[in-house]
Amino acid sequence: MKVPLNDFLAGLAGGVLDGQLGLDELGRDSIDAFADTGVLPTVLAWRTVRVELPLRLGVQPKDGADAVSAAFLTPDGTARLALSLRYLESEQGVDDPQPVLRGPGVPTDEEVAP
Amino acid sequence: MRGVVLDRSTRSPVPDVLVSLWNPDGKGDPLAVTGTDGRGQFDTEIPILFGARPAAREVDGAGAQLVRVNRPGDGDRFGPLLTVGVPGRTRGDLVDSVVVYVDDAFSERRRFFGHALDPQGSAIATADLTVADPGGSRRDTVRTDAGGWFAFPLVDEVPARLRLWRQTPTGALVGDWTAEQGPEAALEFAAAREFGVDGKVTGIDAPVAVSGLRVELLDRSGAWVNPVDTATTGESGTFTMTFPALLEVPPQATFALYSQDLRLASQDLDGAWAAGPRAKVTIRLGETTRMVLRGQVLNRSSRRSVPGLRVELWTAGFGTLLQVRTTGPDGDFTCSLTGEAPADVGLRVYASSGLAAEQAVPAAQFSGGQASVFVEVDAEPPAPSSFRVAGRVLQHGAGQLPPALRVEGWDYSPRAGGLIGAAAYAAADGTFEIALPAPAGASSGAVPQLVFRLYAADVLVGTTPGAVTWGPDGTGTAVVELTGTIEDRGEVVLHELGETIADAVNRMQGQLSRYPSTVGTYVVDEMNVSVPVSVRLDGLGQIRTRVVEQVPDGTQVGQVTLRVRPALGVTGPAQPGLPQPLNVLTELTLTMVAALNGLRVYSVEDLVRLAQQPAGRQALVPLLPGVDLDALLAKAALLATPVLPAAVRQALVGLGFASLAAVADATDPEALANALSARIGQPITAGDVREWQRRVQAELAIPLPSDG
Repeated sequence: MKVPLNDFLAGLAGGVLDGQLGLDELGRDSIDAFADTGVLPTVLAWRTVRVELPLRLGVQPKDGADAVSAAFLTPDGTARLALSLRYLESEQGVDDPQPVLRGPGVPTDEEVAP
Repeated sequence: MRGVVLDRSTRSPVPDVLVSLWNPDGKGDPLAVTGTDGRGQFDTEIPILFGARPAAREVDGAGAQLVRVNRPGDGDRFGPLLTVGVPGRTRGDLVDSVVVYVDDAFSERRRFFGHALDPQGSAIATADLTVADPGGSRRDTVRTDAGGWFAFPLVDEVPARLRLWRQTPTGALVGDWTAEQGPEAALEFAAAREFGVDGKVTGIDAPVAVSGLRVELLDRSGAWVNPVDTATTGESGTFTMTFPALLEVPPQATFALYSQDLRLASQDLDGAWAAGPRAKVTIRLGETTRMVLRGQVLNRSSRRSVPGLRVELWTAGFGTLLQVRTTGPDGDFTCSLTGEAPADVGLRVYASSGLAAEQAVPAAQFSGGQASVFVEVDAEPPAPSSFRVAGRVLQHGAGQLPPALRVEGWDYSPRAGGLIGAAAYAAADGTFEIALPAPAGASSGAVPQLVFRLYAADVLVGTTPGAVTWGPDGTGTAVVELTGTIEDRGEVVLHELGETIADAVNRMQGQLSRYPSTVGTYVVDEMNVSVPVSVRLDGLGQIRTRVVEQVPDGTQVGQVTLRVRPALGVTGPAQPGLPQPLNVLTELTLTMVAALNGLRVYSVEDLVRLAQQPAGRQALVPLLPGVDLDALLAKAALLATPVLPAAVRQALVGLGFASLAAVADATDPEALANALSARIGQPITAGDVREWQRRVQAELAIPLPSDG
């Protein structure tokens, strides 16, 4: 079984996003229900996602100037892939909210002063 | 009779063995049989057989009685373990406290112990002793311990007499062990007597002394180790031999004469030492005729040679066995004979099933002392138990083989249980060796139908039916040629590996960008890929890497770790666009482009990257004959510069600009802007051109210390 590295990473990213979109939907539902139930609305977010797995990495060399050599993955190898995703929230209460960019490993405000 | 059976070495009781009493000559039926109990003790009554006078007489009288100890069920297979004498008593008395020692009661081997002493009575410590029975049919070596004690295993009946000897620099010492001395005898060694030979070699026609020949004294009885002694004839053709009388019986002498390895003559001499310890002999050259019989054993139907068969050479009428040979790999054998004249001989060939062929060779068949025969048998050549193939993988076109190339040999011949294959890793020079078990019950002529599969980094790179040249004993040789360009399979330049990972991360980040930024965003915080690779430097100075997984033990592999971390909030350079293929450089012929592609140089950017290294630049010269390399690289640098948009670069080249300097030095920005506008199809002003020229000049400028 070979999985192109691009597909694997795209699938992973898509899975995280779909999961988060589902959480957002639940959060909106909880906001809508607040008037009826009085339960404080809650919106959850994946903050960090870390994947680490052993695998076998193969390379299909490119054969032209406009191509990129393709990498594919198979299980049960001695190579290691470690990947972490981070969620950066947007500043709220402004006209055009944009994510507050932080470099990797820089703690969020909540992590500094929880 | 009461007694106990003990193990001699451990003195532990031996339970559950049979103790039988016999007449002293050991013949007839046993007088009594009993078994030992758990403490090794036995108790039996000796019957008085009035009808059997000899037995009764021995029991009644003052003679000896035999006690034999057997393991139950051994029967005659192992024979009696020991025979001991028991003092006889008068009729009706009790023979008590008989202790019977058995050797190695708990194993199938027995041994006698001895204490070796030199003529002065001192122990012969840590020395090798040769043990032989007087007939010389058995011969073995034992080593004494620090105290001079030794133990000698016996597998048959206890012999009546054994002779032990030790070779020392000053001569041989011999000692005799006899059954009467008991199994724990002290053996005094004494200097051995000596036998001698005074001989002379002469010619046939005249008694001319023949010097410089090697004379071997051989023993025909088999008791002595052949050759018993050797000597070389001197100027007068004489020779002398002196050897210790290790055995009481002198050799049945045959003198063989050699010149180098050629046996010239042999002469039997019976009773040579009858008159005294020194024998006298005269050997006359040419009295004997040397006969050489060469033969080959063939299978009757297949005509294939049959190795490994026993060939016996007999005298005429199969009266006396002369020689035994074993057929070689080609079923061949050679017998060398000496005699007064060619004589009729006979051949017998034995296979595992018994006599396979019998053939007479008449004297008339010898010509000039030589004869050749073929012997037909029905026996098949023995089927090998395994097949071994030694081979070599060659790359078509003399390319370089990849490291850790795995060779699999699959046997496609019908075999119970499906296919079977064996694998090995080829050495750096492509050599390999694989072994396959032979199928059970296969006929002797059957060989595997091999198909070789070659894997590099777990990628199948070639499948080829094996043209194996099989030998007679299951060994074969094969050459496996790879016709594909194996280098391209999985091997990339190091920067390509980085490009691949970066491209994958870039695409992943693009997928993450789907999330609405008004809420937040997901970023790749870190990606770390660590892969085992084999690394080599190619002829252009590029670092080639190949991801490997399974490698033979001891093979060195490298490890590449690629870590990608985003620099958030940093504006990078503009997207450089797709790499430009080499064919935009019109100076390059199609052949040159193909050659560069074969070396994984695909784009102008690759060419510029390569030319930045002195080694790469040097390696390009022979690849691009007739090309002004400096001019080409200047043009490539213009095409690859990141300070200009790709379309502008290509348009500039199209307008005849051949280098960055030519662009920077263009004196008429207005005209250049018009030309570019026309070529690109987009309005470009002179101000744009001047800005691009400024960037190019900055690119070309040499950084100065005063620049800060």
